[in-house]
Amino acid sequence: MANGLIKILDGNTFVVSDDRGDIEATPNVPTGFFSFDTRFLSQWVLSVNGQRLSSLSTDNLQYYESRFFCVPGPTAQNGDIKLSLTRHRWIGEGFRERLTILNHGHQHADLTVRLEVSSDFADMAEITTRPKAFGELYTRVENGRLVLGYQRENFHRESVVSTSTPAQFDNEGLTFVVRLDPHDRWETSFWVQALARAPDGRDVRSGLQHYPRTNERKQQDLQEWLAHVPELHCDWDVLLRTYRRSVVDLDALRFTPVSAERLHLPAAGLPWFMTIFGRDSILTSLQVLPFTSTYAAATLRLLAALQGSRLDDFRDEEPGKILHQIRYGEQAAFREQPTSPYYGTADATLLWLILLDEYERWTGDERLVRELEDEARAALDWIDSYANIRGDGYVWYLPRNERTGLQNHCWKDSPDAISYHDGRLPGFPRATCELQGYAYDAKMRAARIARRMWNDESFADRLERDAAELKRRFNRDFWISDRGYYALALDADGSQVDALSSNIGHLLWSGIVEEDRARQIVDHLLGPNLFSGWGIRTLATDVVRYNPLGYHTGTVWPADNSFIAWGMRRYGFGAEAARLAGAMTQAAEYFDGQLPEAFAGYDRERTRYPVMYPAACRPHARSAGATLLFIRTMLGLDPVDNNLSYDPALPDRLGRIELLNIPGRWGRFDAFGRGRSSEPMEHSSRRPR
Amino acid sequence: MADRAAEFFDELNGRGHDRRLRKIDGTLRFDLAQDGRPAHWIVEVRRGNVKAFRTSDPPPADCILHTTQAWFERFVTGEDDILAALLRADAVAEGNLQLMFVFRRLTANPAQAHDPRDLYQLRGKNR
Repeated sequence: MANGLIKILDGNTFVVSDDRGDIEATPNVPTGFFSFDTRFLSQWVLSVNGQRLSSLSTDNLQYYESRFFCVPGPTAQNGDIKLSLTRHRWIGEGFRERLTILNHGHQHADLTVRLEVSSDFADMAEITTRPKAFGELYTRVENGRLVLGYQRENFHRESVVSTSTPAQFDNEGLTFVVRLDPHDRWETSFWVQALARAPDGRDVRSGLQHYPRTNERKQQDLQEWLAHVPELHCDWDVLLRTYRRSVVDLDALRFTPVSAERLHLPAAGLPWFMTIFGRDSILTSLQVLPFTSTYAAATLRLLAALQGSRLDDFRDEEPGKILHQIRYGEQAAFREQPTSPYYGTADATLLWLILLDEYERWTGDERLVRELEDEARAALDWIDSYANIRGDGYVWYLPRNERTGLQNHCWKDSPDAISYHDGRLPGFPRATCELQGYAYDAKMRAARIARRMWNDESFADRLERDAAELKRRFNRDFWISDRGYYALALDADGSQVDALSSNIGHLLWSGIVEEDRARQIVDHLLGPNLFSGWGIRTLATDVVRYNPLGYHTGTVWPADNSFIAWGMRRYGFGAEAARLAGAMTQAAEYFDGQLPEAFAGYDRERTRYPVMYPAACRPHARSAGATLLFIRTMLGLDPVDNNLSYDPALPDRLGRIELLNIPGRWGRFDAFGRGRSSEPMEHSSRRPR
Repeated sequence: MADRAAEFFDELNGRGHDRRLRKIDGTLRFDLAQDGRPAHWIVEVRRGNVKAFRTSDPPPADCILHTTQAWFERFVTGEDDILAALLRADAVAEGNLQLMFVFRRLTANPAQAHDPRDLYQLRGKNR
């Protein structure tokens, strides 16, 4: 996404404009007013006496609110500014904007204020591809309002534009004729409702439980959230700013699915993924568990409620499987995309089990673990049945929806993401290495749950035996002994897909790596082919498909790196994990503390700054979560029964760090760390409250 | 023509208990239009115990789905799905939608659905 765009958001409703506040959508620049995966405004352009505005400054007041200060005409020739405008806008049951025009002159001003308005009602899924083809677009003026609509059978979306002062409406927009006295001001407000109409004219959501928030409520929620999360103190400003920004973004992305009984979880990322993704919700919840368990509890519940129950090739659905994503746009509605919901992912089910255990370790909430026993057992059954496609005990994926589904059912889901070193693509089914790690971890964790909370000792024993056997075979079948790392995947014949990738870092997090191989894995991860200086690339530079701007074939993902660093600590590589945390924090400085979804894999030595990936989401939930997980990793936080243990390993740059009020089953705890340059400190002291 | 909706509800009622509904505690109502007139079906669930019946006097319910008989038959036979229909407004829901998502678990596999293991065997032999 291009820089210089101004975004405001609230859950899955958001506005992206230029720095004047204007919206002029083009296929490459996804500006507009969006809600539920549909663009409700594609043009919103203000002019005064025929002159477009120029931006003086933009004030991002809150994540849901911004203010634009502008003047008419080009600024360069404006030696003598007579007029200025502010456009104050926010998300609130649609999109609202208050326009104020000030006359700074000694004489009256006659103004024609024009707003051009239109909408293409594009589905987020088609925004860069094809124009709308199936339904009918219409525009009409009625009762002092402008109504823009799109109808295809019963699928009916409308944008209704109204103003607080009378305007002259026409099919292309609206006009005000204003006379301003010297030093006077003029003001009007716009409200754009985004409606999904049922055949009876009401909004389809009107009969459902939903909880729109006022700005006051959002502000209150944000303040409560900021007061709830642990307080960070340290002597590195960038880390403080990145933490603060990440925490605010995680609140901005909170999203309550319709009728979800007030549960909210993070939408994945703006602008492309403002919806529920199984994997993203789970990974973000895992990243932020030391800071809040709210997201984890909601994610576990909501994904359990939508757990797969039938075999459906179109949705790549199987009983027990956790979903990949839900979309609300036209293509999902008409089954042109399988996303209502789509189950084409092999990792979400495993990660859901991991989150269930990690959640209980932090919170002690055994009640939820018991409540979700059926779903957890169904997920475990899925591993041994539908995922065990070749019958050899590995987790495989075989896409059944070949027309509109995904080919790769793992986090690197681009078509070219899973390749051999020489660039060939393997056949299906595929078993990527990190899936086996997750399966191992899921079974080990489920064994703990079964023993402690389901009182099922024999099931626990069986899960541990299965996990141990999986680890043994994995270390035999995936290990490439002459190169000293694990294969990216096994192909349809059970042969190794031998590209060197960041996936091997996830294996450390899962614990499936044999102890005596961990050093080699860490050396590969921090070697020149994978480590760019800012972070670990998705794919090594010597692999044929490596591309520093390849989405899953060379870029650096903050989230990927955060889990790898966590894994390094698991195997005792504290200094290496700290190096990753330090490098990513330095990268965050170039993004004003708001890490994008991914950035380019160029060598740090070459570019000196991290280069933005062109279409990266920002804010992005897992990237915001990465900062929090890095802090956990640096402090070495880990629940041990009813206590929180910590064991800091800090990057060189960081001399001192304190994380206060860490919530969990122990109440609240404080953790402290000192860098190498400081005096050693006692780490074992724990202060319950 | 067989009334597949009636068959579905009768079969559900005959089952008496379904573990998949264990977490629902509430009443679902289906208003199924056919030839312009709605048939009202009630599904009462208490901790997995289920009663399903038709009524001419529709009571309030925790979740109500207004749709056509034809669409409902496509839903329970796995040919279409609840969320897609809601987005298209071919079905309109009131109340607590979570109940409807859990109810979805009772719907059948679509015809010609594959177990991925069987598909592997099928395709694998031809590769």
